[in-house]
Amino acid sequence: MERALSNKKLIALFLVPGLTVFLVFYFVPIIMTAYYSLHDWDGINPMTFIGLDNYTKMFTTDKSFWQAVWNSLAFLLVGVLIQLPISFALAMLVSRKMKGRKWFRNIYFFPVVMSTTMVSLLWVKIYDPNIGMLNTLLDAVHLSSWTQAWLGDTKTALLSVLIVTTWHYVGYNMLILFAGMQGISEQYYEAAKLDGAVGWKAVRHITLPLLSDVLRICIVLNVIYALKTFESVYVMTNGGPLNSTTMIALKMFQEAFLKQNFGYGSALAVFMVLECLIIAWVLNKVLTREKIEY
Amino acid sequence: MLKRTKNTGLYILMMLIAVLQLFPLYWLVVSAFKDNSEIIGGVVWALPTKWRFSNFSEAWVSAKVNQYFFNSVSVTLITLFFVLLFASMMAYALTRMRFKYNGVILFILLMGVMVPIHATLIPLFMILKNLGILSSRLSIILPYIAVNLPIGVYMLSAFLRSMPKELEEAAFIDGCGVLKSFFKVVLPLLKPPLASVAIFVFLAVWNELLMAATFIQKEALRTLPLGLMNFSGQYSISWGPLAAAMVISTLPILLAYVLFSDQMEKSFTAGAILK
Repeated sequence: MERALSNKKLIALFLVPGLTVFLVFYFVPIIMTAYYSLHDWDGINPMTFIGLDNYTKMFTTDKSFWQAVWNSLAFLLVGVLIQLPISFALAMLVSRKMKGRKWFRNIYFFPVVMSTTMVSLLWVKIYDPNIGMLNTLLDAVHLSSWTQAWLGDTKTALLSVLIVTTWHYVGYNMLILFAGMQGISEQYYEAAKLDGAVGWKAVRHITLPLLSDVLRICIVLNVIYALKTFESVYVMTNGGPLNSTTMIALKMFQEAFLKQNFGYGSALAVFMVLECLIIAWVLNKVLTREKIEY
Repeated sequence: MLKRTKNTGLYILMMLIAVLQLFPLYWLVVSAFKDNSEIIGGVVWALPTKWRFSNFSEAWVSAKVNQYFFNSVSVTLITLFFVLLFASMMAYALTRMRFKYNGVILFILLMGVMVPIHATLIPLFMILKNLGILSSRLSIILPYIAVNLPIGVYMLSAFLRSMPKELEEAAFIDGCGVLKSFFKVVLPLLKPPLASVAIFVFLAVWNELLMAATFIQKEALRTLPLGLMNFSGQYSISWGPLAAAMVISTLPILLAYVLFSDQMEKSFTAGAILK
């Protein structure tokens, strides 16, 4: 068996097909993006090497780049500070031993499996000033003064998109936290009960510390999702009005495929990758403390 | 007694949240049966006065949702098949076979789990153009396979590592070669993690928009998300047929969810822990 399993031809047979597809259509493009980013190129004419000029432009003269960075930050903060606590509360709710908890868990989770395109198109209609359900509902409860073109106004557009993201993904975080909570042994809570730690005290001294690994995963996931946001803004606002909802990924897409700035688009893509890797690494460092033992 | 009231309060709270999560979807489904005058003038939560199934036939035929649906089905199935096959072969080689570059390959695959697909878009466009397959089904199938392979390999390797080798050894003693023991013994044992990977990949591919929007320029080859998006631009006035199209495109997911919700939860948690 050992000899059969170190047969070079067989190993190649098992690895080469998949590895080739992966290398050609994923790995090599990542490296090419880095190479493109050092050039001025429209995708048709020969490239000109311009060193770090694309990056200089990005950081100094391109105002909508900074707008996109700030918008990512808004997504990131809402994800971590609003969505995560709600998800935590939901996970607590559905992990109580009560009838129908599985139903509730399934209902809260369902939006997650729907495509962002679908969810975004649905909410475009919900926000629509004419046929949308939101304004109609506000009218019905005599809050007509609140009605407006939610996605068409620079003041409300970003917030409206953020609400959709929250609605779409709370169930995801809930599920991961719920899975984590299931892993905490009943014994801890029983022991805590004897010491008088119930309710909020039990959450603070048992659930939260024992869930810290899962919470870290959730935070990293939320942050990465925030930085990668594309579909929702592409479908709902296309970055508008006046760049108020633009994101790096969308900007990269527009620069490359609408304005034919392949070099500059690649620089934006490289920025995205580094941003994701660095922030994930930093978060892992910062959030990893010594393991708690009981 | 006190505990009961507390539970009722909790139930009401949970119901309210459930309504909040479901109401937009309820509105979508009833809108799919209404016409514009009923949507604009009517009560938001009211059922349609007349159930207009014509919205569905209009979406299915005139708006070409049938075509988009078929495209999505074929792209998803082909991708799924190759991801499952390649990922299980690679996972097997990486956990069971003996060779030098094991670590290097796992590390390279890790890039695929970490680096956002957005970073591959521009060069991929050029590669596909140079290969002459831009705007064909292959132009999204190949990247979809590449993108979904790493997570598949990681999920399957984790499972294989914890799987005892005795059965394979027994197969070898019975005179099976590597290939035979892989297909006859290993693959059947891999069913549970393969189901998780399959669900993960199915949802990712069925819902994908960015690559489809970039690489598919022929209208006839549009997948559902892409088709819906363009459809919504053209049909900005009549919401009913668009809602019907959206209901149709979500049905397979809903069906999968009803049938495999436990498996789905598992694959999502597994996928999350890996990322």
